[in-house]
Amino acid sequence: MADQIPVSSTLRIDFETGLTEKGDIAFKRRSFTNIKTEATAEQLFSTAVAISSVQNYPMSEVTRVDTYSLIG
Amino acid sequence: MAKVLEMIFETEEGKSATIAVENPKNPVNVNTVKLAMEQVIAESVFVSGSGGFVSVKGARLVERNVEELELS
Repeated sequence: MADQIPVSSTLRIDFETGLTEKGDIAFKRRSFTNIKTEATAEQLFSTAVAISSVQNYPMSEVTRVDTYSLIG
Repeated sequence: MAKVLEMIFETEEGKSATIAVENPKNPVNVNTVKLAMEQVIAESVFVSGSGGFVSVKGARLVERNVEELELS
């Protein structure tokens, strides 16, 4: 039997910065570490909205990256 | 020149923790910054080495000046 325990979480926000030369949407990604592993989706999304409110570029995708340690 | 908005929070142990946002709104509204910081505290997803964020300590715009040197 193996088990997993949460190690760390990262909040990642993609901002739309304009268009590329080919006409695709250009993104700028910002990662915030030091996120509580027990943070809920609601809390994380609301935090991303708060951070975006002082940002010049519109918020695109918000991602949560969780790391677990596997113990066998 | 590139500006960075630094939002400074007081942590549980009375120390400072900073969240830096690149490309802040220009001009940035003081009330918007305050509301964003209060929302970040309320959602409580961040944890620093000296605990979670408990209050707003301050905010500042940091500007970096780069001067290219002519080498030839």
